[in-house]
Amino acid sequence: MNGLAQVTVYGILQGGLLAAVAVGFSLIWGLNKIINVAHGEFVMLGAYVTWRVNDTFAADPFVGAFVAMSVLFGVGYLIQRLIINFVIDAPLRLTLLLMFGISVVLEAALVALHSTAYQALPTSYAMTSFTVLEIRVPLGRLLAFAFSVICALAIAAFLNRTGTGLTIRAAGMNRKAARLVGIDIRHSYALTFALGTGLAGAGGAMIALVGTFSPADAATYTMSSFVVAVLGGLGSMKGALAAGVLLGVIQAWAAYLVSGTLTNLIAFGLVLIVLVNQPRGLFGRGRLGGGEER
Amino acid sequence: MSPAPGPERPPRAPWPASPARNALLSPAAREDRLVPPAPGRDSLLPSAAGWCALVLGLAAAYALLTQVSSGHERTVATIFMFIALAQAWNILGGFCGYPIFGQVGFFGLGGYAVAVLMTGPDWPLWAALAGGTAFCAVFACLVGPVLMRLRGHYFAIATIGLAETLRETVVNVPALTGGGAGLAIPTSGSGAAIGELGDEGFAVLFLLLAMATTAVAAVVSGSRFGWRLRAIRQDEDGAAALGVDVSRAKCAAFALFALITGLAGGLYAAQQVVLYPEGMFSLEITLLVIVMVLMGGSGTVAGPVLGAVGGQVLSELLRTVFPQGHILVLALCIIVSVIVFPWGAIGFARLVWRTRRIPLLEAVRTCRL
Repeated sequence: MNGLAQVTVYGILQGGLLAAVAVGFSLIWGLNKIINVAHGEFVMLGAYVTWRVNDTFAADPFVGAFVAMSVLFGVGYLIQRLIINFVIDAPLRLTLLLMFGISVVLEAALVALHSTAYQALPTSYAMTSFTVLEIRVPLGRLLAFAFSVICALAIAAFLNRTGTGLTIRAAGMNRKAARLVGIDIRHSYALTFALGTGLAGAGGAMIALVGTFSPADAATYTMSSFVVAVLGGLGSMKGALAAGVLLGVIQAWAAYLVSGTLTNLIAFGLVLIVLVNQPRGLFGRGRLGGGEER
Repeated sequence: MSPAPGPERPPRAPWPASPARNALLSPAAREDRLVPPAPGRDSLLPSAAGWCALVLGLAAAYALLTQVSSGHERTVATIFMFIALAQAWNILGGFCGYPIFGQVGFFGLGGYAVAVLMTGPDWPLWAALAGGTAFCAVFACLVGPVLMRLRGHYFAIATIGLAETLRETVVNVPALTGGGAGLAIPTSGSGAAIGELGDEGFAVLFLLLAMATTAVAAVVSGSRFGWRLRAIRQDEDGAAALGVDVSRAKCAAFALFALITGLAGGLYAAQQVVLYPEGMFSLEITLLVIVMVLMGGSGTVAGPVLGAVGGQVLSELLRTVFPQGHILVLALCIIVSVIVFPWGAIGFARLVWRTRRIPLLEAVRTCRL
């Protein structure tokens, strides 16, 4: 029993990370109607920026995380503003292909800058852990969980409680109406994308804090974002948060009880079942139409 | 499905295109601005299909003649395989307008079905190919009705999910497929394929497959079935209202797609020595095929052929010019061509012929924010 509790805690901590990454993905999907298949590359970019900052200035990963978020925010803004905005109304096959192209470019750039070898970012505290009720909690993972979930909640609050957030949501819901009331939709679409990639950067920084990473890992994070976004309901941020934690726990349990190779099968099986039955997600909170084409 | 009662609307005037009016077009109509017009009486290509098959056959024969016993049979075979895959994708993604991003799932499924039949019950290659292809088609008939209900983003995501699920399934039944450790194809005995055919034999087989699939695409393009698919692409609900059995046509297109893809996968698998899940289910195959179809011209018969040949030649060229960053350059080419030439080469040529002008930035004007 103790083993299962231990695994559950690990699953929750890992799930929070996945959730934060997936919230960014879900945000871009729900508001910009773009399936961001380059999301994993943005995550890895965040991890490498953090590593660079640590390598050059010997700065703490949490300082690096803020740098990573700012850099990724800028990169995301420019990509949406200078590239995606030109094809925003193109059929799905074109936008998806475009995003694949962008992901390949980003990955090639990462490989060119840092080779394909696995990197790690050792800190003095990430490996320490404390014990609660006979369950070991690694401090680094706990901090990463807290930071990424707080970032996701902060962005959700920004969208729900500020005027700028309101305009962003309006532009995402109905572009023509938003234009009619004077919202600069080019800017607000770019902001949405930038928020999503910024969150990916935060997740990447935390991944750098707790483990090893390499450009080849990008696809894993893209796929987990897919799974979490679908399970949580398209475009629903709260759903993505809950689904991320749930997915982390399910994967940890599957690896503990059955075998590690089954985790992906379970995840994608769930995705198919949810999509075919009820595209609102497991929690029924996803806005139907989150992924509809206009 | 009876049309809702209401005042009859007059038919809309056939306005000329202009950026300002594009904002007024419905999404379906706007989508159709990016699809080349189907060949009509005033078309440049009276029978694109026949020409295409002829040119393909001649070019292939020539290529074979120059390449046989020069060590390039594999490259030639790969080009032909991509022609077949691109034609399959084009039936579903081009004519029918359902962009499937999980083609490699069926490719790998067909490959593994053939390999399992050859290793387990020790079937000869031809029987295994037939069995594997049939298995793929049956599987498509089972999942098609469920999958083709979804539209747009949901469909794209679900097909990616399906491909991933199939890959993970293959990984998780090591007793049958060898799992992640790989599955060796027998090279001797009744199930042997490599020995009797060799690379040249496979190149010829892939050539036959490419010609057959192009012929199938040509037949589909001119048939009532093909026009039903085009109607579905333009306006599915409208097509249903006009009496097209939409779900049946969609499932038929899906089954045809899966059959061709599975056959190509089976042949490819038989050519390998050892099968690995990550090789048979690599996302790269899906992406390459889509790039080829879109660059050649989706919804046309000659487009996929042109795209597959051009794409392979281009990537080989880039490999020699930029040995380090050829993937990067290829991706940049994709990004630019998506933005500037969404019709693909054939579609663009046809558009120029039709409109008598060169609409270079028309796509950006139609689709930008």
